[in-house]
Amino acid sequence: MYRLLILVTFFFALNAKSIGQQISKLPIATLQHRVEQASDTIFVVNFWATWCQPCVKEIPEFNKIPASYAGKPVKVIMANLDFPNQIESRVIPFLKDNLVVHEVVAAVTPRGGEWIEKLDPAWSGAIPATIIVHQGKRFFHEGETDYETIKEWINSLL
Amino acid sequence: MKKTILLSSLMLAAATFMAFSQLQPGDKAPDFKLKGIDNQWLSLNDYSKEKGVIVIFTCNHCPYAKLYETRIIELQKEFGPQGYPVVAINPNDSTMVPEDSFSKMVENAAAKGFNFPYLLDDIQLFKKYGATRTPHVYLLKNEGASFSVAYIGAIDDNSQDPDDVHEYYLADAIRALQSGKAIAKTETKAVGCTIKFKE
Repeated sequence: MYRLLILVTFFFALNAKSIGQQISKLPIATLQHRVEQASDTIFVVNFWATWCQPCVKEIPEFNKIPASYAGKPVKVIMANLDFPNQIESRVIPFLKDNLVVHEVVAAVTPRGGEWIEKLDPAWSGAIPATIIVHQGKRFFHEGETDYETIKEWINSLL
Repeated sequence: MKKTILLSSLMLAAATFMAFSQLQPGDKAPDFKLKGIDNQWLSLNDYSKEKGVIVIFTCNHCPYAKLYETRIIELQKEFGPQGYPVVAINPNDSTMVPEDSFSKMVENAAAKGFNFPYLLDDIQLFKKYGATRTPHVYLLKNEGASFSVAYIGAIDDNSQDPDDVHEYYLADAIRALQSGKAIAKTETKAVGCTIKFKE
């Protein structure tokens, strides 16, 4: 009986882990539309890649962001910018070894860099970069950050 | 409390503004004097006989910079003899990124066969140019007494695959200068690594 229990537990643990590793591909325009539509939600989008050292370093700071803040729902999206053909070989293994609490999406970007300008004119394209959107107000930052600073940015939009 | 919020908002606004204050195409290019991997000092004035200069802020460690190393060598081969030599500048502070130290620059250039000067920016020149990432290109045009900025941005439109490039932004800009035509795209953006420095 114990053995069965262990086996079942193991099976569920395994299953949960594999669910956690799935990441959906999302065109950057769809992502932008999703966070910019009218909503009570505070959207925090972090652009990152497995090859980007400061991005990897700041992931634990984004992990600290709670599901709600000042009574409003918070949705954090970890938008990955590894090359599309490296999702399986780099991103999935990375997510196995590193805790990323919030939803990870593989951002599908069109050729060239016009999408960067469209997302935020202040963005040069360097990562990490973070955009926070709440009810028409937005905040953008290029470079590393930490949880305390992210809270200040959210507060400035409330 | 309100004052604190106001103050921090102002500081944030200032930080955002500073991130904005880039050179624009048409602006005068700031002069520089930096030491290269051959231990020689190089300044923009040394290029007064050239038609222009391809200034590229790049580094050793950044994967996007690495993806362009061969392409930068090819650019020097093609455009150097035509009066548009490449000057590569590493803006990263090696106390933050050991892989970008001067000795590692020497090693990397030798390993890859760099055919252009590779300078260490230890005076935060990149701020004067408004460079924010590696690689970040500034095509300069010789105006006689000084250089102006003709093009800012990416080398081409495909970082990952040099065999699948549709638009050669930098090469097209140089060819436009050579034929006296207007540059179609004077500014482009691309994903890259942030420049690592201490305030």
